[in-house]
Amino acid sequence: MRTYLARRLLLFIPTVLGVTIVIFTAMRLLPGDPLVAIFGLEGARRMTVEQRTNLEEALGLRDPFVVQYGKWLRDIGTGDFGKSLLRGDSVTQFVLRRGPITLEIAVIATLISWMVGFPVGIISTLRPNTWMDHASRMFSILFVAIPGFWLGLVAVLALILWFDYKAPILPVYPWENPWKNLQMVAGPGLVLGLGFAGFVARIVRSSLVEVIQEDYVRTARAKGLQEQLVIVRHALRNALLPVITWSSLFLGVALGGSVAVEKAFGVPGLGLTMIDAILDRDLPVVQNLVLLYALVFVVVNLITDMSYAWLDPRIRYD
Amino acid sequence: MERWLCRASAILGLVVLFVLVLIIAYGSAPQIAVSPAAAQTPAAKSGEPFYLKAIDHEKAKRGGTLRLAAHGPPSMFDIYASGTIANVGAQAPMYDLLVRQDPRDPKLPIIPSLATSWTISPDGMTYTFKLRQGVKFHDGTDFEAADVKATFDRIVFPPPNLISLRILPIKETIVRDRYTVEMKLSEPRDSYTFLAALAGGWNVITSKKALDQHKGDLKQVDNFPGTGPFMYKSRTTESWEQVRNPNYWNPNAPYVDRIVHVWLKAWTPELGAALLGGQVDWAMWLDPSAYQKVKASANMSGLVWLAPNLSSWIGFNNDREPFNDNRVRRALHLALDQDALSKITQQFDPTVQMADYLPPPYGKTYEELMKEYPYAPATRDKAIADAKKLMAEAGHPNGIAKTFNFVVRESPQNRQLAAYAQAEWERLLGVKTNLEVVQVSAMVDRQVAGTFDIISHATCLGGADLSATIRACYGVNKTTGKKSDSNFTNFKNAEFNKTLDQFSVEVDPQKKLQLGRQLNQILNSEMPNTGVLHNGRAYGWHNNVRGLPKVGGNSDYNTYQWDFVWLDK
Repeated sequence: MRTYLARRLLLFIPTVLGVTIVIFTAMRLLPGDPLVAIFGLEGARRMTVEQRTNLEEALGLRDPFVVQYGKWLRDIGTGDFGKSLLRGDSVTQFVLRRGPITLEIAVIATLISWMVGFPVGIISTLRPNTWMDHASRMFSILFVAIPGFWLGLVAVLALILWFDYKAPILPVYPWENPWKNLQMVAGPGLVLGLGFAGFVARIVRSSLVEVIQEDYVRTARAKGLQEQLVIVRHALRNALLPVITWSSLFLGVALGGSVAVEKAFGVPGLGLTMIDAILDRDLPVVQNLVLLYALVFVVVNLITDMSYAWLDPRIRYD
Repeated sequence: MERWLCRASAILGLVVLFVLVLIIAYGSAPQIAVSPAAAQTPAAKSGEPFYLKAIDHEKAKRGGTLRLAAHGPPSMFDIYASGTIANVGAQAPMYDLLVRQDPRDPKLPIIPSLATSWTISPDGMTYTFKLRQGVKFHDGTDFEAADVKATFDRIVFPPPNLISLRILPIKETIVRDRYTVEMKLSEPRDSYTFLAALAGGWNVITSKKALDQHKGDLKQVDNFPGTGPFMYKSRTTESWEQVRNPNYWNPNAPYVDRIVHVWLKAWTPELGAALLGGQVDWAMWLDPSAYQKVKASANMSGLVWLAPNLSSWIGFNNDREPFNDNRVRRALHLALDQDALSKITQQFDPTVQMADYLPPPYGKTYEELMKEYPYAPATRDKAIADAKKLMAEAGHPNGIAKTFNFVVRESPQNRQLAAYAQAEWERLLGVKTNLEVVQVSAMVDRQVAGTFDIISHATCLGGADLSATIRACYGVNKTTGKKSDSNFTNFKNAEFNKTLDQFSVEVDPQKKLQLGRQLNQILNSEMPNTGVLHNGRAYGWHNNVRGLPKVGGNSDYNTYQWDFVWLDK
């Protein structure tokens, strides 16, 4: 296990470095002048060549790409994620202010995907080829197929028309006002979660269908165990592994998926920040947020792999 | 048992969904808390210097939180180097100006602020300001003449590597005594133009101490000290909160305890929804739909302030063939229905209107233009025929084989405008263009480098001194002798430059009017650009925000201090 962990941690380094190279190169290929972002149209036009040169030097824009890349890595290493070109805020401030909102949305989406996906998957498995099974399968295919942003837009429209919904203009945190915070994050969480629930239902169904045909399930039934115990303790527990794998991916996908859903609901999370930064060509924000998302994804994957051994004692990494 | 499990699962799923829908649907969206009313501020005593009051001061209530939807946030805080409303809009409440334009009156007369009175020398070249005594900066230091000198030196003579976007004809600022400051002009100006230029909302007075400490570079300093009615409280990625200055020198103001600028982008549905939904009290730069709803609402008010800028939406590269021939430029101008251009743009900004090159009284009003050739609908056929004739005279009777590069700023209005121009030029004159849509910062690079045939769009940021704006847009920089920074069409005309020199220093109103009209005439015959559309900014607020004027005037940059506004809540 320790060898495996060490190997995975070592692999983590080239993975992250690869991500940084891709992000850095992509950002440098985009057109745009950071000085216009900082000083506006008139400011950039009125600069003398000398002023422009000095400002570009101060921002490190005149350094060779390799040096710029090195400085970026150094800054990340020291915990400095840079500063927005268009706003007087650092990326760290964005992450601290808006990260909790996005994280809440991702967690709620994952929880909803379990709470809705598990029952639907179980019903579908235990009542094969009945109307309940058909309805469950239709539900799962429907929500897998519908894009989150579209569902978000429809949900927002319905909320506006029927409940006079107003998009939040400032973030509210659970420790400030839990009820208002829940109002803010529940919508995006629900929309994202329903999409994931479709996946969960399908995975639960396919795993359970396989597991309940196993010998040990038959043995459990034969020895007279209650059906509830057979399903919950024996079958479901063994069907859980692929769900865990997918759920960890959901957490990463939820961060990415929240970009569109946060925009639809107008929730000031990191997703909305990302969209605004992309539209404004705010390169440091885009660059560092993409890196953060990638890091979260890689770390969550690592934790998931580690959790397999704990969940299933048969799995050994040595 | 299986039935029980199925039923339990279904019920659980339904309950989760139901609860979540209820949570989202019920309860209003987060609101900014309103603080209790503050104690009454004593009224000014008679015989004291001028103190600004709300329009209906006697009825004014005190206290409360004014929630402002502001275009922002600013990318940096050096207001002197900034050309965006994001700075002046959010920072102005923390500062005072030397003199100011009365924000309650759309005609914007000059009134005292930190200067209580001033005298002008007979030759109009020296202004002596008496300063208000007993004023303190928010950091506790005393306000003195040295602070005025330090501020205007930063603005007029910025340190190397720092930028100032303000153009003021000041040769020298001299401290005469602790509370007297003298300004010597570098060239004559009529007194209103000069004082209005000083009163520009960007020329906020800060302390010499702060400027010395930061070597004039305030880009990263969001709380450099001011003397203004509101003080810095906190700033987040979504908002900027400022609170009442308890030691403010004006005993009448401010009326509200707290202002919160919430960043909502201009012209977006989110901005309109926040105002119409009551999440903010006031909003700037509304989109057409929201502005119409504001105007239609009995509980809300709205108005348009004109921008003091010169806007050209399509510029020709006057250095390149065939655009160096004014017959081609005029033909391209005549071929376009200019009013249609403004209607296209109005879909995105309700305040845009076709305009003359220079604003009235030097140029003609929209109504005047629409009655005459080539803008009146009845004259359009003749204008198109004349455009074809001009192209023939320029040697292009059958159009031009080459396809020209048309650099278009990435925005919906510019894209639609350019597409219309492209289609009309090809259909009517056989002039083909290739639209190259670029992001705004890339457009500036192209403007500065001159690597375009046709380009959209550019605004020359204006102020109270129109001559400075015209020079920036169409003239020559007097210091460098090269074309001005915003003269991206590379317009050169000796007669124009000579007339502009005369116009800028002329103090006689009649002669100035005549010179201004000459300048406008030259631009109309030379046509360095087309699509001359003037725009304003649409504002809206709930009627419980009191004290704002009912009609907008020229330039809203001087109205953001919020010391004359109260809340009827």
